[in-house]
Amino acid sequence: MTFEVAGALVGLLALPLLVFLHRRRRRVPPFDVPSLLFVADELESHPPRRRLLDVDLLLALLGAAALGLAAAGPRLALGEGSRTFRVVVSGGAPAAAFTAERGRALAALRGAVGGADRVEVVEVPAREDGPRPSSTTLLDVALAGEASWRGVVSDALAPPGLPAAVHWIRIGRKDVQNLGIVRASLIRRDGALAVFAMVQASASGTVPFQLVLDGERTRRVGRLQRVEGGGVVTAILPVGERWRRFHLALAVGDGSGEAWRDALAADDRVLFERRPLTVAFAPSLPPPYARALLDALEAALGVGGILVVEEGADLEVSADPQEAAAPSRAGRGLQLFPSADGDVAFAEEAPDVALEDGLVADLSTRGCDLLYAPAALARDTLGGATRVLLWRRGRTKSWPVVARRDRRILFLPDPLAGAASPAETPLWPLFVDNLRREVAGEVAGDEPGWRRRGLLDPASTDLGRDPAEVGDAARAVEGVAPAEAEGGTRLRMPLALLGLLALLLLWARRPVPSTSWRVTKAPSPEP
Amino acid sequence: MRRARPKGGGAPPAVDPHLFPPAFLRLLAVVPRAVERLRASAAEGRRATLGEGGRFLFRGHRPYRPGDDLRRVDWKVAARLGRTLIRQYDAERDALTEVWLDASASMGPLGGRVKATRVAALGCAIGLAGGGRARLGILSEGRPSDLLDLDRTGSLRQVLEALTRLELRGRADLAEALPRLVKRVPRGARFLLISDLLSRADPGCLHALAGRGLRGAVLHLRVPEVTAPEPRGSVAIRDVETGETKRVALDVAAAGRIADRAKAHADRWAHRAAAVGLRTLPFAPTTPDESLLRRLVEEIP
Repeated sequence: MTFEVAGALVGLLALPLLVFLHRRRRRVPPFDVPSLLFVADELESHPPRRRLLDVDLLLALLGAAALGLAAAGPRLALGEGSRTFRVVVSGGAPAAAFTAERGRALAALRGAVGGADRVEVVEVPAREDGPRPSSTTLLDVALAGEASWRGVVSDALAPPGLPAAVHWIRIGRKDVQNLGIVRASLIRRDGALAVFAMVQASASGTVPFQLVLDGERTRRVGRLQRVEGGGVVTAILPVGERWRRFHLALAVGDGSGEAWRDALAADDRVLFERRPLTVAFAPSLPPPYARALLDALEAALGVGGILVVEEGADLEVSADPQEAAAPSRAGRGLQLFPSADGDVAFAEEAPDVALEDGLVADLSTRGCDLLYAPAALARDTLGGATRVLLWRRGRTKSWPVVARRDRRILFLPDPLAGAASPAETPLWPLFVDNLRREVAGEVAGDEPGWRRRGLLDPASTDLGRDPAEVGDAARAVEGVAPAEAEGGTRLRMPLALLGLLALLLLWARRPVPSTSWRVTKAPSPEP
Repeated sequence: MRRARPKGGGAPPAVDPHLFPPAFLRLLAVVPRAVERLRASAAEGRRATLGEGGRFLFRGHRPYRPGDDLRRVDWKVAARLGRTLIRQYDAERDALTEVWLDASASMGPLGGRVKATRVAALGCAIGLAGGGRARLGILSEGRPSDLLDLDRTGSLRQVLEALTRLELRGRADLAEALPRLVKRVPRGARFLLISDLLSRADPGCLHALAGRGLRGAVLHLRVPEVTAPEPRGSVAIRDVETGETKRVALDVAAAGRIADRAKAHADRWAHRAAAVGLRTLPFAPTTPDESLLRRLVEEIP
């Protein structure tokens, strides 16, 4: 049994005092008589035996004890409770290389815990062709919620400063082999367009490979190269000037037919395409806002990298509040909320809170004025499927900055309002760059108008091959203390009612007639 | 002992309304008339044998007082002198009534104080009736102490106030008090001793009063809870005089023994009182005041 307010049990110390006071009160004092002259010769007698069953005392003790226990808020635990084992599984492209290992780790965890316990698996998603989630994100997810045990299943090494409350279960294979493109960008070499590539090997021994350019109607194969396990090799391949779209791919092997198993395919192919980002501005968008967006996009893509169209655009920009809840017809919709004079809400300076999302990466509202039109904070805008990714957390209110709603992206404060408007601070340009990266992909180098997709980070290519031991998932859950049942039966109300009932019965009982030294019939004193 | 307390605080009343309620005060007011009526209705010879010298002798006149019997008015003198005078006899003029009250603590509990003080007041009123005098005193710690000397009916209020102020405490110690009292009591006086006689003293101490021609009575306060208790099992009782506490098994047999001892004790005192010419008049806290008055007037010479 547990108690919500254990200190209230001190009141039970009054029970012995109740017994003392009750007996003292019930004690019959000696009767005062004029003289003991006529009883002096009588023998001294013993006091009458105390009543074994003093109902009044029992009721008083029961009432006081029940009320005292009720004040302590007891909870009756129904045996051992179920434990929650929270397991965070890393997503992203490298996870595809260890699907089997991850499954075995989870099965080992489930097998190691008791039948009444619960294994809560939380997968931190990432793009299937994207890098792993950061270790910070994995730890944050692992530490969230109530759990008796927390663990992260990942093929990456445990980060330094791992909290003691989190177990890092590393999965992988020491014999895993992977060859991947870790750098790829378009360059000009002697005036001619070319692609620069860097290939990394996570393998043992030397791996032969060739880079292949798959154009629209052309295929160019680079020379055979070899890369040492754990090393990198670079290569430059010419690109046709008239090419508008091609893949840079890896062909592992030397053509001899020797099989070489590449663990991760996601880092073996990169897409390049020359297509400006098409942007459509809705009639509801005031021209200054369109200009602010174009300026930010041109800073990232160059003038030739943006094309304003009427329809069919990659990015559609609107300022109509009615469209904020509607699905975007384009690849992505950007909703802005221009404010009018005199009808704005001003967000006080406060810390930022951001979710793990590439759209809000590196964004900060510090030093920036955030002014909101009423429509930006309306329930229709922020309710439903809207998911706020970045907000300023005030003392009494949170001020949303960036949100998603299906394929529509909302920038909620007025980007042009304020003495230090978002457009005049890094907030707006960085946001537009993140947006551009999501909509159009990475910039493929210095050549304007070219985009790149599918390039992973070197860490993703470097799968779990280091000498660190792969964690034993089953051993990691040993020694977790059994937990008490959550909740349990609250006994406060039943005990309080019992106590009140006992006191009510005590009050309703007839008083015990006191013994009085009186004669009911006075004898005649006549001699 | 209960003290009179006025409602709402302040000084206690001079006369305790609990000790002397309005009904008793009305009774007290008619005592002179009652005494005259009862004495007049008695045979002269019988009355003459009760008094010293045997016969009433006319000794003179005194002024009429309200309450005097109109049959004693000397109408001849009134017609001649124009004044209303009363014929006075030896049995009345300068008659002294000594009222002595046992002031020990044992007189207090269980209603004893209330009744004893009323008896003392009645005794004083009877003594003052018909022009007599009265003296009120107490016996305490072996010493008699005068409270009041009274010579007229109007001084009864002083009696009530004195009895209200009286505190019953300690012991009377009759064996020492009575010999000392004898020296104060004049020969031939009417003597009233009010006591519960709950003393281990030898009743023979009453012999100190012998040979002084005293007439009167021992007014014996008998509290039924002491002299005839009811059986009620094991009880603890405490002597208010000594503080001694004793637990006794008060069954039927014990109650009978206690009653027998009390009766034997009372009989011994009554026998000794009779030997010195005093009657014994028992009374209880529940004895009606009217009954007490009648018995005091009729049975005490």
